[in-house]
Amino acid sequence: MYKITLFGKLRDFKHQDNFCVETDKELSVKKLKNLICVYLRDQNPNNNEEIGPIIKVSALSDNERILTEDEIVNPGNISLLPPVSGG
Amino acid sequence: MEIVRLQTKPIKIEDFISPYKDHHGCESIFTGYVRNTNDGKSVKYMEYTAHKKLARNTMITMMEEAKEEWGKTLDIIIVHRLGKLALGEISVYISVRAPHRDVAYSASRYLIEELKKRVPIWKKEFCDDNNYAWLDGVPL
Repeated sequence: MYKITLFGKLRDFKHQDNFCVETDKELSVKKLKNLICVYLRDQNPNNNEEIGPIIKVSALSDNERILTEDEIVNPGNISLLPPVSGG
Repeated sequence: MEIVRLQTKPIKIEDFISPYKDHHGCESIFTGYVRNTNDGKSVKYMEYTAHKKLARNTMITMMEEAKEEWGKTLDIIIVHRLGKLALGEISVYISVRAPHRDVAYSASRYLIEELKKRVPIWKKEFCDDNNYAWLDGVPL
């Protein structure tokens, strides 16, 4: 199971900051992002067109580092980070 | 002195003034403020959020990179504000103390540019009509 925490603009697509993705397999970053995309689209039928593009440019992190696209994600707490805009 | 900090209380420059060390000939200070317009729109206030752990770790890594490139004797302070900020408040403060100005300017420029590209912080801009917009950012 992955517990996904959303940040930045992604929080507009979910009332809670986090949610769980149940799966019996360990997924690659790319596959987990696809699954999150499907989940958020289901939750936000009105914002369907916005969700895909922003998830595509968002990064997954195990809260220690940014994960690369083809990496396998260990189950646990995962953050989804949209493009950053500090400063 | 090395300080890396994310804080919700206002950034006061006087909090980061400390005695100079003999080998430091100068200090370069970069201060970012909340301004009243962006892309032609009036801004009322700004809200910053972060992935605090990753943001702090990334800022520490950037500081180490700057020291590796420009010298271990640099004193570096990087402070970023979080939460709701009014117009004119300081959003980011970077100080580099160095033996010479070329090093101080280069390291300071490096730190603010890298911060904008690598540190997981997000800016939400509230307009006069109470609508808000997340600012376009840089993918990690």
